[in-house]
Amino acid sequence: MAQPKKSAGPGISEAEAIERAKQGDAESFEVLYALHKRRVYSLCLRMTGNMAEAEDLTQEAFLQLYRKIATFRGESAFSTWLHRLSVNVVLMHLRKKGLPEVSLEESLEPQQEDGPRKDFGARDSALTGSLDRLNLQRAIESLPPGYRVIFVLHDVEGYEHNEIAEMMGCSIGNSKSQLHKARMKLRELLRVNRAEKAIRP
Amino acid sequence: MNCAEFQRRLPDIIESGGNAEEEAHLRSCPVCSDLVQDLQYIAEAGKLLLPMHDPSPRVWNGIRGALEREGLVRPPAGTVQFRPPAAALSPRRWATVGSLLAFAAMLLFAISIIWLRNNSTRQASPQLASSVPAPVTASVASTVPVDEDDAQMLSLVQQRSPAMLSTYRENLDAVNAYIRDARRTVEQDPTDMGAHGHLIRAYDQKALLYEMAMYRSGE
Repeated sequence: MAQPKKSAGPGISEAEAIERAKQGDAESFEVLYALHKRRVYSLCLRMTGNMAEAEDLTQEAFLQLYRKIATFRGESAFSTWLHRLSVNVVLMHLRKKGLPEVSLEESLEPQQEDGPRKDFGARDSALTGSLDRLNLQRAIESLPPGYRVIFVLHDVEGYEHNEIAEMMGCSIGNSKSQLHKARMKLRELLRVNRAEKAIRP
Repeated sequence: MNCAEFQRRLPDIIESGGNAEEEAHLRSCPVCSDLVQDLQYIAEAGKLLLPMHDPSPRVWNGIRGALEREGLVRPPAGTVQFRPPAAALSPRRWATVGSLLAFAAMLLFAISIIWLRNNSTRQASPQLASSVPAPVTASVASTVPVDEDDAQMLSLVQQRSPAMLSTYRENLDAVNAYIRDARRTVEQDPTDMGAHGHLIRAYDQKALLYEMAMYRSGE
Protein backbone atom coordinates (compact mmCIF):
# COMPACT_ATOMS: atom_id res chain seq x y z
CA MET A 1 0.00 0.00 0.00
CA ALA A 2 1.42 3.37 -0.97
CA GLN A 3 2.38 5.70 1.81
CA PRO A 4 0.23 8.83 1.93
CA LYS A 5 2.06 11.90 0.78
CA LYS A 6 3.09 14.19 3.55
CA SER A 7 1.38 17.39 2.65
CA ALA A 8 3.20 20.62 3.20
CA GLY A 9 0.18 22.73 2.36
CA PRO A 10 -2.16 23.29 -0.50
CA GLY A 11 -0.66 22.00 -3.72
CA ILE A 12 2.76 20.85 -2.54
CA SER A 13 3.87 17.67 -0.85
CA GLU A 14 7.01 17.27 1.21
CA ALA A 15 8.59 15.24 -1.59
CA GLU A 16 7.88 18.02 -4.08
CA ALA A 17 9.23 20.61 -1.69
CA ILE A 18 12.43 18.61 -1.34
CA GLU A 19 12.92 18.37 -5.10
CA ARG A 20 12.20 22.05 -5.58
CA ALA A 21 14.50 22.97 -2.73
CA LYS A 22 17.29 21.10 -4.50
CA GLN A 23 16.75 23.55 -7.35
CA GLY A 24 17.04 26.53 -5.02
CA ASP A 25 13.34 27.33 -4.74
CA ALA A 26 13.03 29.68 -1.76
CA GLU A 27 9.39 28.88 -1.09
CA SER A 28 10.18 25.19 -0.79
CA PHE A 29 12.84 25.90 1.79
CA GLU A 30 10.21 27.67 3.83
CA VAL A 31 7.78 24.79 3.45
CA LEU A 32 10.33 22.30 4.76
CA TYR A 33 11.15 24.61 7.64
CA ALA A 34 7.51 24.96 8.60
CA LEU A 35 7.06 21.19 8.52
CA HIS A 36 10.00 20.30 10.72
CA LYS A 37 10.90 23.34 12.82
CA ARG A 38 9.00 22.24 15.90
CA ARG A 39 10.59 18.84 16.16
CA VAL A 40 14.09 20.11 15.46
CA TYR A 41 13.75 22.98 17.91
CA SER A 42 12.26 20.78 20.62
CA LEU A 43 15.10 18.33 20.19
CA CYS A 44 17.70 21.09 20.46
CA LEU A 45 15.94 22.60 23.46
CA ARG A 46 15.72 19.33 25.31
CA MET A 47 19.33 18.48 24.65
CA THR A 48 20.71 21.89 25.62
CA GLY A 49 18.17 23.15 28.14
CA ASN A 50 18.69 26.67 26.84
CA MET A 51 16.29 28.50 24.54
CA ALA A 52 18.82 30.83 22.93
CA GLU A 53 21.22 28.00 22.23
CA ALA A 54 18.40 25.87 20.92
CA GLU A 55 17.36 28.58 18.47
CA ASP A 56 20.92 29.04 17.23
CA LEU A 57 21.31 25.30 16.80
CA THR A 58 17.97 25.03 15.03
CA GLN A 59 19.12 27.66 12.58
CA GLU A 60 22.42 25.85 12.05
CA ALA A 61 20.69 22.50 11.57
CA PHE A 62 18.42 23.86 8.86
CA LEU A 63 21.27 25.67 7.14
CA GLN A 64 23.26 22.45 7.05
CA LEU A 65 20.17 20.71 5.73
CA TYR A 66 19.82 23.19 2.88
CA ARG A 67 23.50 23.03 2.03
CA LYS A 68 23.37 19.25 1.88
CA ILE A 69 19.90 18.74 0.47
CA ALA A 70 21.29 17.89 -2.95
CA THR A 71 22.85 14.79 -1.37
CA PHE A 72 19.54 13.47 0.00
CA ARG A 73 18.73 10.39 -2.04
CA GLY A 74 15.67 9.17 -0.19
CA GLU A 75 17.19 5.99 1.25
CA SER A 76 15.73 7.01 4.61
CA ALA A 77 12.79 9.19 5.51
CA PHE A 78 13.57 12.87 5.19
CA SER A 79 12.56 13.48 8.81
CA THR A 80 14.95 10.75 9.96
CA TRP A 81 17.77 12.28 7.94
CA LEU A 82 17.05 15.73 9.31
CA HIS A 83 16.72 14.42 12.84
CA ARG A 84 20.10 12.71 12.75
CA LEU A 85 21.66 15.82 11.26
CA SER A 86 20.17 17.91 14.06
CA VAL A 87 21.47 15.58 16.74
CA ASN A 88 24.94 15.81 15.25
CA VAL A 89 24.74 19.60 15.22
CA VAL A 90 23.90 19.65 18.92
CA LEU A 91 26.56 17.12 19.82
CA MET A 92 29.17 19.09 17.88
CA HIS A 93 28.10 22.20 19.75
CA LEU A 94 28.40 20.45 23.09
CA ARG A 95 31.86 19.18 22.19
CA LYS A 96 32.99 22.68 21.28
CA LYS A 97 31.70 23.96 24.59
CA GLY A 98 33.76 21.30 26.28
CA LEU A 99 30.81 20.01 28.20
CA PRO A 100 31.08 16.35 29.06
CA GLU A 101 28.56 14.53 26.95
CA VAL A 102 29.14 11.34 28.84
CA SER A 103 31.00 11.33 32.08
CA LEU A 104 32.39 8.03 33.13
CA GLU A 105 33.60 9.38 36.42
CA GLU A 106 30.70 11.58 37.34
CA SER A 107 28.57 10.20 40.08
CA LEU A 108 26.07 12.55 41.50
CA GLU A 109 25.09 10.21 44.29
CA PRO A 110 28.19 8.26 45.33
CA GLN A 111 26.23 6.33 47.90
CA GLN A 112 24.01 4.95 45.19
CA GLU A 113 26.91 2.84 44.03
CA ASP A 114 27.12 1.24 47.47
CA GLY A 115 23.51 0.43 48.02
CA PRO A 116 20.01 1.83 48.30
CA ARG A 117 19.79 5.32 49.66
CA LYS A 118 18.98 5.49 53.33
CA ASP A 119 16.36 8.17 52.72
CA PHE A 120 14.63 5.95 50.23
CA GLY A 121 14.78 3.06 52.64
CA ALA A 122 11.43 4.03 54.02
CA ARG A 123 9.01 3.25 51.30
CA ASP A 124 7.61 6.26 49.57
CA SER A 125 4.69 6.25 47.20
CA ALA A 126 5.76 5.69 43.64
CA LEU A 127 5.77 8.40 41.03
CA THR A 128 3.29 6.52 38.90
CA GLY A 129 0.32 8.68 38.16
CA SER A 130 1.77 11.78 39.77
CA LEU A 131 4.00 12.85 36.95
CA ASP A 132 2.92 15.52 34.54
CA ARG A 133 4.83 16.30 31.39
CA LEU A 134 5.69 19.81 32.39
CA ASN A 135 7.39 18.64 35.56
CA LEU A 136 9.24 15.99 33.63
CA GLN A 137 10.32 18.56 31.05
CA ARG A 138 11.60 20.86 33.78
CA ALA A 139 13.39 18.01 35.47
CA ILE A 140 15.06 17.08 32.18
CA GLU A 141 16.25 20.66 31.83
CA SER A 142 17.77 20.43 35.30
CA LEU A 143 19.82 17.38 34.48
CA PRO A 144 23.57 17.71 33.98
CA PRO A 145 24.31 18.02 30.26
CA GLY A 146 25.74 14.53 29.84
CA TYR A 147 22.76 12.83 31.47
CA ARG A 148 20.33 15.06 29.66
CA VAL A 149 21.73 14.20 26.23
CA ILE A 150 21.58 10.46 26.88
CA PHE A 151 18.06 10.58 28.29
CA VAL A 152 16.73 12.72 25.45
CA LEU A 153 18.36 10.58 22.79
CA HIS A 154 17.14 7.28 24.24
CA ASP A 155 13.91 7.79 26.13
CA VAL A 156 12.54 10.83 24.28
CA GLU A 157 13.86 10.48 20.75
CA GLY A 158 14.01 6.70 20.65
CA TYR A 159 17.61 6.04 19.62
CA GLU A 160 19.00 2.64 20.57
CA HIS A 161 22.10 2.28 22.70
CA ASN A 162 24.22 1.13 19.76
CA GLU A 163 23.23 4.28 17.84
CA ILE A 164 23.94 6.51 20.83
CA ALA A 165 27.28 4.83 21.37
CA GLU A 166 28.23 5.48 17.75
CA MET A 167 27.12 9.12 17.86
CA MET A 168 28.83 9.88 21.12
CA GLY A 169 31.92 7.76 20.76
CA CYS A 170 31.29 5.66 23.84
CA SER A 171 30.55 2.03 24.52
CA ILE A 172 27.07 0.54 24.63
CA GLY A 173 27.62 -0.35 28.27
CA ASN A 174 28.52 3.24 29.01
CA SER A 175 25.39 4.45 27.27
CA LYS A 176 23.26 2.10 29.35
CA SER A 177 25.00 3.12 32.55
CA GLN A 178 24.62 6.82 31.91
CA LEU A 179 20.98 6.39 30.96
CA HIS A 180 20.34 4.61 34.23
CA LYS A 181 22.01 7.41 36.16
CA ALA A 182 19.98 9.97 34.24
CA ARG A 183 16.74 8.22 35.15
CA MET A 184 17.83 7.92 38.78
CA LYS A 185 18.57 11.61 38.89
CA LEU A 186 15.24 12.44 37.31
CA ARG A 187 13.52 10.29 39.86
CA GLU A 188 15.20 12.22 42.63
CA LEU A 189 14.33 15.58 41.08
CA LEU A 190 10.72 14.61 40.57
CA ARG A 191 10.29 13.27 44.08
CA VAL A 192 11.83 16.41 45.55
CA ASN A 193 9.50 18.48 43.42
CA ARG A 194 6.51 16.49 44.58
CA ALA A 195 7.58 16.78 48.22
CA GLU A 196 7.99 20.54 47.91
CA LYS A 197 4.54 20.89 46.45
CA ALA A 198 3.09 18.79 49.23
CA ILE A 199 4.36 21.10 51.98
CA ARG A 200 3.33 24.35 50.32
CA PRO A 201 0.44 26.05 52.01
CA MET B 1 20.27 -11.28 46.63
CA ASN B 2 20.27 -7.98 48.50
CA CYS B 3 19.18 -4.55 47.32
CA ALA B 4 22.70 -3.36 46.50
CA GLU B 5 23.31 -6.33 44.23
CA PHE B 6 19.91 -5.95 42.62
CA GLN B 7 20.34 -2.23 41.96
CA ARG B 8 23.75 -2.76 40.42
CA ARG B 9 22.04 -4.93 37.82
CA LEU B 10 19.18 -2.52 37.27
CA PRO B 11 20.27 -1.06 33.91
CA ASP B 12 20.19 -4.52 32.35
CA ILE B 13 17.12 -5.63 34.28
CA ILE B 14 15.09 -2.70 33.00
CA GLU B 15 16.48 -3.13 29.49
CA SER B 16 15.95 -6.83 29.06
CA GLY B 17 14.29 -8.24 32.16
CA GLY B 18 15.77 -10.07 35.15
CA ASN B 19 16.62 -13.66 35.92
CA ALA B 20 14.69 -15.74 38.40
CA GLU B 21 16.63 -14.53 41.41
CA GLU B 22 16.21 -10.92 40.42
CA GLU B 23 12.52 -11.40 39.79
CA ALA B 24 12.16 -12.99 43.17
CA HIS B 25 13.87 -10.06 44.87
CA LEU B 26 11.65 -7.65 42.98
CA ARG B 27 8.56 -9.42 44.24
CA SER B 28 9.78 -9.42 47.79
CA CYS B 29 11.36 -5.97 48.14
CA PRO B 30 8.98 -2.97 48.11
CA VAL B 31 11.87 -0.45 47.93
CA CYS B 32 13.36 -1.98 44.80
CA SER B 33 9.90 -2.60 43.41
CA ASP B 34 9.03 1.10 43.72
CA LEU B 35 12.38 2.04 42.24
CA VAL B 36 11.90 -0.14 39.16
CA GLN B 37 8.35 1.07 38.77
CA ASP B 38 9.47 4.72 38.89
CA LEU B 39 12.31 4.24 36.43
CA GLN B 40 10.10 2.44 33.97
CA TYR B 41 7.46 5.12 34.34
CA ILE B 42 10.02 7.86 33.69
CA ALA B 43 11.28 6.06 30.59
CA GLU B 44 7.72 5.67 29.25
CA ALA B 45 6.85 9.27 30.08
CA GLY B 46 9.86 10.41 28.07
CA LYS B 47 8.44 8.75 24.98
CA LEU B 48 5.26 10.76 25.36
CA LEU B 49 6.98 14.11 25.36
CA LEU B 50 5.81 15.52 22.10
CA PRO B 51 7.59 18.40 20.43
CA MET B 52 5.97 21.33 22.11
CA HIS B 53 7.73 24.49 21.14
CA ASP B 54 8.19 26.53 18.03
CA PRO B 55 11.28 28.67 17.63
CA SER B 56 10.87 32.42 17.44
CA PRO B 57 10.57 34.10 14.01
CA ARG B 58 14.19 35.29 14.25
CA VAL B 59 15.32 31.73 13.50
CA TRP B 60 13.70 31.72 10.07
CA ASN B 61 14.87 35.28 9.44
CA GLY B 62 18.40 34.17 10.16
CA ILE B 63 18.07 31.13 7.92
CA ARG B 64 16.61 33.13 5.05
CA GLY B 65 19.34 35.76 5.26
CA ALA B 66 22.06 33.12 5.27
CA LEU B 67 20.48 31.29 2.33
CA GLU B 68 20.46 34.48 0.29
CA ARG B 69 24.03 35.40 1.23
CA GLU B 70 25.27 31.95 0.31
CA GLY B 71 23.35 31.94 -2.95
CA LEU B 72 21.44 28.81 -2.05
CA VAL B 73 18.06 30.19 -3.03
CA ARG B 74 16.85 31.29 -6.37
CA PRO B 75 16.80 35.11 -6.58
CA PRO B 76 13.49 36.91 -7.25
CA ALA B 77 11.88 36.54 -10.67
CA GLY B 78 13.61 38.48 -13.44
CA THR B 79 17.13 37.67 -12.43
CA VAL B 80 19.43 34.83 -13.33
CA GLN B 81 18.57 31.48 -11.76
CA PHE B 82 21.22 30.04 -9.51
CA ARG B 83 21.36 26.37 -8.73
CA PRO B 84 22.39 25.29 -5.26
CA PRO B 85 25.93 24.06 -5.10
CA ALA B 86 26.44 20.36 -5.79
CA ALA B 87 27.56 18.17 -2.92
CA ALA B 88 31.19 18.31 -3.97
CA LEU B 89 31.38 22.12 -4.27
CA SER B 90 32.06 24.50 -1.46
CA PRO B 91 29.11 26.68 -0.47
CA ARG B 92 31.41 29.65 0.01
CA ARG B 93 30.25 32.62 -1.96
CA TRP B 94 33.50 33.09 -3.91
CA ALA B 95 33.38 29.56 -5.31
CA THR B 96 30.93 30.61 -8.03
CA VAL B 97 32.84 33.80 -8.79
CA GLY B 98 36.06 31.85 -9.07
CA SER B 99 34.61 29.21 -11.38
CA LEU B 100 33.06 31.79 -13.71
CA LEU B 101 36.22 33.83 -13.88
CA ALA B 102 38.29 30.72 -14.45
CA PHE B 103 36.06 29.73 -17.35
CA ALA B 104 36.29 33.18 -18.87
CA ALA B 105 40.04 33.32 -18.40
CA MET B 106 40.48 29.90 -20.00
CA LEU B 107 38.40 30.93 -22.97
CA LEU B 108 40.44 34.07 -23.45
CA PHE B 109 43.70 32.21 -22.96
CA ALA B 110 42.75 29.59 -25.55
CA ILE B 111 41.89 32.26 -28.10
CA SER B 112 45.13 34.12 -27.35
CA ILE B 113 47.23 30.97 -27.83
CA ILE B 114 45.59 30.24 -31.18
CA TRP B 115 46.04 33.87 -32.23
CA LEU B 116 49.74 33.87 -31.33
CA ARG B 117 50.28 30.79 -33.44
CA ASN B 118 48.57 32.23 -36.52
CA ASN B 119 49.39 35.94 -36.45
CA SER B 120 51.62 36.26 -39.47
CA THR B 121 49.49 35.12 -42.44
CA ARG B 122 46.31 37.22 -42.73
CA GLN B 123 45.32 40.25 -44.88
CA ALA B 124 43.04 43.13 -43.81
CA SER B 125 39.31 42.77 -44.49
CA PRO B 126 37.15 45.72 -45.57
CA GLN B 127 34.08 43.85 -44.32
CA LEU B 128 35.31 43.62 -40.78
CA ALA B 129 33.61 46.80 -39.57
CA SER B 130 30.13 45.29 -40.00
CA SER B 131 30.99 42.11 -38.12
CA VAL B 132 32.68 43.66 -35.08
CA PRO B 133 30.31 43.49 -32.13
CA ALA B 134 28.77 46.74 -31.09
CA PRO B 135 30.18 48.28 -27.94
CA VAL B 136 28.19 47.53 -24.86
CA THR B 137 28.90 50.77 -23.08
CA ALA B 138 28.65 54.26 -24.44
CA SER B 139 32.09 55.41 -23.42
CA VAL B 140 34.83 54.45 -25.88
CA ALA B 141 38.10 55.85 -24.70
CA SER B 142 41.02 55.42 -27.05
CA THR B 143 43.53 56.21 -24.37
CA VAL B 144 42.64 53.39 -21.98
CA PRO B 145 45.78 51.33 -21.38
CA VAL B 146 45.70 47.76 -22.69
CA ASP B 147 47.54 44.67 -21.56
CA GLU B 148 50.16 42.81 -23.57
CA ASP B 149 47.67 40.49 -25.25
CA ASP B 150 45.49 43.37 -26.27
CA ALA B 151 48.52 45.23 -27.60
CA GLN B 152 49.55 42.23 -29.69
CA MET B 153 46.03 41.89 -31.06
CA LEU B 154 45.97 45.56 -32.05
CA SER B 155 49.40 45.20 -33.54
CA LEU B 156 48.15 42.35 -35.69
CA VAL B 157 45.19 44.40 -36.85
CA GLN B 158 47.50 47.29 -37.63
CA GLN B 159 49.61 45.01 -39.76
CA ARG B 160 46.73 43.46 -41.64
CA SER B 161 44.17 46.22 -41.78
CA PRO B 162 45.41 49.59 -40.56
CA ALA B 163 42.11 51.22 -41.53
CA MET B 164 40.27 49.05 -39.02
CA LEU B 165 42.63 49.73 -36.14
CA SER B 166 40.59 52.55 -34.61
CA THR B 167 37.43 50.46 -34.78
CA TYR B 168 39.11 47.53 -33.12
CA ARG B 169 40.60 49.87 -30.55
CA GLU B 170 37.23 51.39 -29.76
CA ASN B 171 35.63 48.00 -29.40
CA LEU B 172 38.50 46.72 -27.27
CA ASP B 173 38.19 49.71 -24.95
CA ALA B 174 34.45 49.18 -24.71
CA VAL B 175 34.67 45.50 -23.90
CA ASN B 176 37.46 46.07 -21.36
CA ALA B 177 35.31 48.71 -19.67
CA TYR B 178 32.42 46.23 -19.72
CA ILE B 179 34.63 43.63 -18.05
CA ARG B 180 35.82 46.11 -15.42
CA ASP B 181 32.28 47.21 -14.59
CA ALA B 182 30.99 43.67 -14.33
CA ARG B 183 33.96 42.60 -12.26
CA ARG B 184 33.47 45.52 -9.88
CA THR B 185 29.80 44.68 -9.44
CA VAL B 186 30.57 41.02 -8.78
CA GLU B 187 33.19 41.96 -6.23
CA GLN B 188 30.74 44.25 -4.46
CA ASP B 189 28.01 41.65 -4.39
CA PRO B 190 29.04 38.09 -5.20
CA THR B 191 25.44 36.96 -5.02
CA ASP B 192 24.40 39.22 -7.88
CA MET B 193 23.87 36.62 -10.55
CA GLY B 194 23.03 39.27 -13.10
CA ALA B 195 26.53 40.66 -12.72
CA HIS B 196 27.98 37.18 -13.14
CA GLY B 197 26.07 36.87 -16.38
CA HIS B 198 27.35 40.23 -17.61
CA LEU B 199 30.92 39.29 -16.77
CA ILE B 200 30.64 36.09 -18.78
CA ARG B 201 29.10 37.94 -21.71
CA ALA B 202 31.84 40.57 -21.51
CA TYR B 203 34.52 37.90 -21.77
CA ASP B 204 32.60 36.27 -24.58
CA GLN B 205 32.62 39.55 -26.48
CA LYS B 206 36.32 40.02 -25.96
CA ALA B 207 36.99 36.46 -27.13
CA LEU B 208 34.91 37.16 -30.22
CA LEU B 209 36.88 40.34 -30.86
CA TYR B 210 40.11 38.39 -30.69
CA GLU B 211 38.71 35.77 -33.00
CA MET B 212 37.71 38.37 -35.52
CA ALA B 213 41.15 39.95 -35.34
CA MET B 214 42.79 36.59 -35.71
CA TYR B 215 40.76 34.93 -38.43
CA ARG B 216 39.01 37.70 -40.34
CA SER B 217 41.23 40.72 -40.20
CA GLY B 218 43.10 39.39 -43.19
CA GLU B 219 40.03 38.65 -45.32
